[in-house]
Amino acid sequence: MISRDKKFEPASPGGSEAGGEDLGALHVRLHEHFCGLRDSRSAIGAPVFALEHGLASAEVSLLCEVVVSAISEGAIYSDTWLPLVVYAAEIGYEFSGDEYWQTFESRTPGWTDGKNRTYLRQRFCEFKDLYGGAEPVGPWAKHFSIICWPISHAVLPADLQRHLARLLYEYRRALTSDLLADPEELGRHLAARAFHTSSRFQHFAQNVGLLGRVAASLLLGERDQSPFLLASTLNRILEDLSDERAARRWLHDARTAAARLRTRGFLPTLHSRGNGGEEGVVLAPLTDPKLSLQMDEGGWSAYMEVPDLSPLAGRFPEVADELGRRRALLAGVAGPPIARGRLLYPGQRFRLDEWPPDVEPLLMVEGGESATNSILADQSVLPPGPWLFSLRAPGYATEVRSKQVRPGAEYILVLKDAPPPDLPQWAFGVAVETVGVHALELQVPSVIDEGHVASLRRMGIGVLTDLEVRPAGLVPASWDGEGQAEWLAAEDPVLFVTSTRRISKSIWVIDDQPVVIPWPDGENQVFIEVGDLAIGRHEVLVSLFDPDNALVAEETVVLDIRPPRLRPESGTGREGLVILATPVSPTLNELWDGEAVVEVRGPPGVEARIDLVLRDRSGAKLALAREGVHLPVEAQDWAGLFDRIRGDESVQKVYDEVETCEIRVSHDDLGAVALRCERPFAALRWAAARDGQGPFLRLIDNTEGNPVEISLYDFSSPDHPEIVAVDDHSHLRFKAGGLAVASAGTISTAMILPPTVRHLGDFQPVPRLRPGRASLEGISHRIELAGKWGAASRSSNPFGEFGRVKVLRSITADMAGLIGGHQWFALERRTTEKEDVSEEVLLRAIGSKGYQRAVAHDVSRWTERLVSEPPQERAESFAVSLAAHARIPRYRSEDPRFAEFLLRLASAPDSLCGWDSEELSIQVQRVLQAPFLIRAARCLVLAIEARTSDGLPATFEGWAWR
Amino acid sequence: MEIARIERTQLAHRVVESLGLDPQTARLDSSTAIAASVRRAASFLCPTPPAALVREVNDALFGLTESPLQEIRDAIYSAVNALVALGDLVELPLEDSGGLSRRHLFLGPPSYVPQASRCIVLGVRPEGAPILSEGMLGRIEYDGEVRFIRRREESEDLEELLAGEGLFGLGLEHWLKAPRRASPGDLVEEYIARLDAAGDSGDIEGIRMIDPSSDVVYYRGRWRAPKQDDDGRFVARRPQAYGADLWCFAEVRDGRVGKLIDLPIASPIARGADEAWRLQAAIDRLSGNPQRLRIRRLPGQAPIVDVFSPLPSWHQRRLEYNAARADRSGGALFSYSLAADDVAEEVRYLTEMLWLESEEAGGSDHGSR
Repeated sequence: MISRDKKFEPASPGGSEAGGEDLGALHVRLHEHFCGLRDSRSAIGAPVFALEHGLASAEVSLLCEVVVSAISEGAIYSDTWLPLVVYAAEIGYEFSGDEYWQTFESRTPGWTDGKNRTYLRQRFCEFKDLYGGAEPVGPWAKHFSIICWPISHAVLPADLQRHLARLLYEYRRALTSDLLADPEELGRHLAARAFHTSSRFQHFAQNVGLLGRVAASLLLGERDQSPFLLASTLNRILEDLSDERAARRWLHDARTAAARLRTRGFLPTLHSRGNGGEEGVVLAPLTDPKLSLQMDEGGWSAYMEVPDLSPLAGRFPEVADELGRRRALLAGVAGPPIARGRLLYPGQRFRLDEWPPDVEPLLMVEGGESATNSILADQSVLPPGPWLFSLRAPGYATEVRSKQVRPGAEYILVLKDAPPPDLPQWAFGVAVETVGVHALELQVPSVIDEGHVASLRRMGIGVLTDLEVRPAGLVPASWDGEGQAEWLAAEDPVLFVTSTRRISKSIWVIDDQPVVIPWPDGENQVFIEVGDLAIGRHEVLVSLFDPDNALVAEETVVLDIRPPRLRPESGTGREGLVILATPVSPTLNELWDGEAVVEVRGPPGVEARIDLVLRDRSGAKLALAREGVHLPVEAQDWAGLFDRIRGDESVQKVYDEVETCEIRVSHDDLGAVALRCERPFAALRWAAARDGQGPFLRLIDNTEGNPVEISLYDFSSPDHPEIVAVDDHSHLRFKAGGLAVASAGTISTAMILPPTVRHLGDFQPVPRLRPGRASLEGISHRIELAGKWGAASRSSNPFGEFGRVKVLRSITADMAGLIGGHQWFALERRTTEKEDVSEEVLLRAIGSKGYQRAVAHDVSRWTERLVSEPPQERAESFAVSLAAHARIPRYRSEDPRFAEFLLRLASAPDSLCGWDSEELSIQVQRVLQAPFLIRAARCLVLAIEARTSDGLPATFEGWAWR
Repeated sequence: MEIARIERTQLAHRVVESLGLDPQTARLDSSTAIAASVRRAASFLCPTPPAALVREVNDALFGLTESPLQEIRDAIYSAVNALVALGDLVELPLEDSGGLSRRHLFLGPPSYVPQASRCIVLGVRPEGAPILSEGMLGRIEYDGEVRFIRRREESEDLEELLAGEGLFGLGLEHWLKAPRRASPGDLVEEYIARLDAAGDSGDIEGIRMIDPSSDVVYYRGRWRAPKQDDDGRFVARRPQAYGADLWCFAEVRDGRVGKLIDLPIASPIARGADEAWRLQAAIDRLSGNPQRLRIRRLPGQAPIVDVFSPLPSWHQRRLEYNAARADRSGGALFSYSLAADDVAEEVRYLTEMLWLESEEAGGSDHGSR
């Protein structure tokens, strides 16, 4: 360890002396301190963090000064590196946003060499080996294998503290003593519920051990000492957290809940079968959807309520990850798949257009890993039919899983097969809208005889008489009306038991443990309290006996105990306003670049306010834009609405400094909900800015020190990159503007660099592409090029956007020309440059053969009707026309996917980059074999554009694909 | 796991405690405790039709109180209505995925209405979560269904504290906002014009209507099904397959509904009942059978105003603001105690907005005809 490090040679022998001494003294002091911590932690196997240096704040300032001075002189030695590690952790604690290295470099003159990052990682590894230091874990740490060290050793960076406080507050009612005593498990539970926090907090939460230890420490009482964190470090975090009133309150309430658990001596346990836990207690089937019936106009319709998937996510993080990233398919639910991440919001009801087939899993992730879908298939199970529903209110019935009826009550019975012909008078067929099932209404007689019992048995239904068990007292979280109830963790269920017979005793078997409870003389009803139930499912068998000890009646009741669901700031379906975002927690970039879709649900026709609040890294408000909207705001309306907000001058001016963006929707009678989007942590990112010299881009490089190559594509030659370099401040300037792409290994990032112009009239680029070929390779290359321009991040500068659209239009026209043939190529060029080609000319140029003229006729005839339809629906109509007339190899029936490909190719080829490459190749080859198809598609695109002014951002107006 | 029998009274006591109330001051069948039970049930059930909410609370309280079953059921209905009137719950149209629009109850947003000496706390959080943090929860006081927090001292910035708790500040003016003043004739004409423009409704099953000729001091007794000889326009309610019964204004000929318009007409988030009750008050005034208001003056006590018909939420809120709840008496639906100086102003407001006829207990008429 004493070998001299050759990386940081002193600038001059004299200059290093003083710094070296200070560093040496600090190193020795820290070494002793961390050795002590290591020894005290070794018994519990808890790691040590560099932030646990135990220095007072003045000493930290001094340490920083000494380290900065030493680095500027190149005087860090291999035996004095501990202060550097502490310094790096301190910056990790304070920084916010994604500019760790930029912050580091700006505060540390002399720290400019990217290779120093590797050096820092070596030192942190040494810290781990020598002092039992924490080792970063989780996918983020794997991906960012250097920066993860100082960030992890910062324990809980300041900008993440608010998120953790809120998460602890929301989860406080689900805390158990066992969880408090098992930080790993606590971390897992919290991580599973972190899906609606910022992406940076989600990265932090991937390290469940760290999350759990920090959480357990924060939840300790004021006088308790954490075995996981040094008292001074914990106090520092607590003090910083308390700076914000809301965070202080959240933490206070979470700590109060934890303290109550400790003093109460009530230790509900969380065990599951096969998990080393207590036998006989099982977790409720987590993804069993709840079924209900609702009376719609044409009869009963089945609905499925998706349960809380977060416990599943706790056990299988990869499932949560896929649910967040991919769309979901619900068996029986028609229409497009469920938006990405939507199923992570529990309690949503979906109408079943068709009863789910027996063989199909109820829940699947579209294109998901087979392991994920296999877990979901195992966990989401529709019980075998018939399905019994208890009428809970007029027009509303909930499923009774016990399939048992009570005398005098009303039910709906759903059957796959036609009902038997010999129905009793009190059972009659009723209309059902859900396809694939029949329904009977059962008005069970008040007095049941053997004939009734036999009739019911033939329908697969049992009868409950002489005994009724149901929840009493505090209204349960859910009750199906017959045998299954749900309470929140830490609530003690109470059951009301009645019998019409004379009873002397009852035997209760809960989770296989029998308890005899005497029945009071002369009573026909009792209340029974079941306390200290663990989270999970508990089966209760109630048996009543008469004075002769003969069994009178038996009933099984299922008690589910679950943690409360967290309420995201964006609201829930139980409230009058709710924001639904796709993905669930969009980043600022996704929002800004139009990749995120936001919907606002609320009473139709009501006018609400939407505020867009932009804040910088310190949390200071930079701009506020406000719009009035009529609810609901549908996904297709969002792009236009956001484009207006984004176009607000006050927003444009500051966007490039923005760190968080809050979308707040409010109404005086409906309250307010909010969605917070933050800049994500990216390995490479461009940030746009402007100064006296004009617009420029700044490169934020969080790579592991890999060399970064920068290519710049001019607006006038958009397929011809030039290799350029950023200046000493990582700035990139180019007066003509263009597309800047930075790449390091497999990582790359692109952004439009706006031109330096004052007026739009000064900027009229004429993009010229190099000659291409009508081949699979040539067209694929063009699509890829369009993708590059299309996917580049937007800056707030309108000239940049203008240039991008010009380029994308040129690429599209050029590609259509290549495929469509020489004559069409000439027409495309004339259309682009002179705009003097009439629709008739274009339609004629589709082709002279009969089937080509027929397609041209359809295009001409349908244009007016298709203008008001979204692009996807136009593709359906186009497919109909092609199937009717086109003589295309392998094209004999309607193929909406191919029609969609053609229209995307003709209007937004960049949007094809997300398609599967194999499928894309096949589709390209098909259009190359029948070039008139691209001509027809282009005709439709241009004709729609000529009739549209929807204001939605798109390369060709009217063609904003979603 | 522990299991044991629990006595009814002990359980009732514990439920009151679990609802955050003091069992020494609130019985389980008190309006305060029932309202708390409704809020808890709503936090799990919403969006829901009122009937499902009432059933859920009724089932949970069954056998726990000494009150007769019907009385408890009525009290739960009253609590649901009061919570909607106050803003703890909101009745909104809900368009389901089948495209059908129904009216359901949603959770009202956690909010506060500032007053000079206190703030009224409104709204319900999902999942049975408390409306305020531990530190503030203990400061909540109750007056029937109303929750409020007193200022500890005149200068206490309670608004800031409540905003810090995530509550939405509602201006008093907004909370008390009433419809514009109108004469009963103008108001009825406005609805008739709408009704005339409506198309044929077809048969409406299960419709019930308010009989204008019935006794105005017995609200429940005013409802009935259409009779064969009914001709005219009526305030009515019609059942919905799954949702709150819809308030409507119907034209009836020979006992059959010919046309109808659903209420509210003012705004999708207005309350149908508010429009219906005001419209009925106007109809009653025009038919010479005005609704009543009774003022009781007892020695040494503040005057009490008895109301015999349901009040629209904007007026119920006004009374919550200006008056204190009093024990109901003499068949009244609501009774409020007012400062002696405020009586004249409140009576004037009621007679201007709802055209009620006031009378002093004992018969002296202060009618406003």
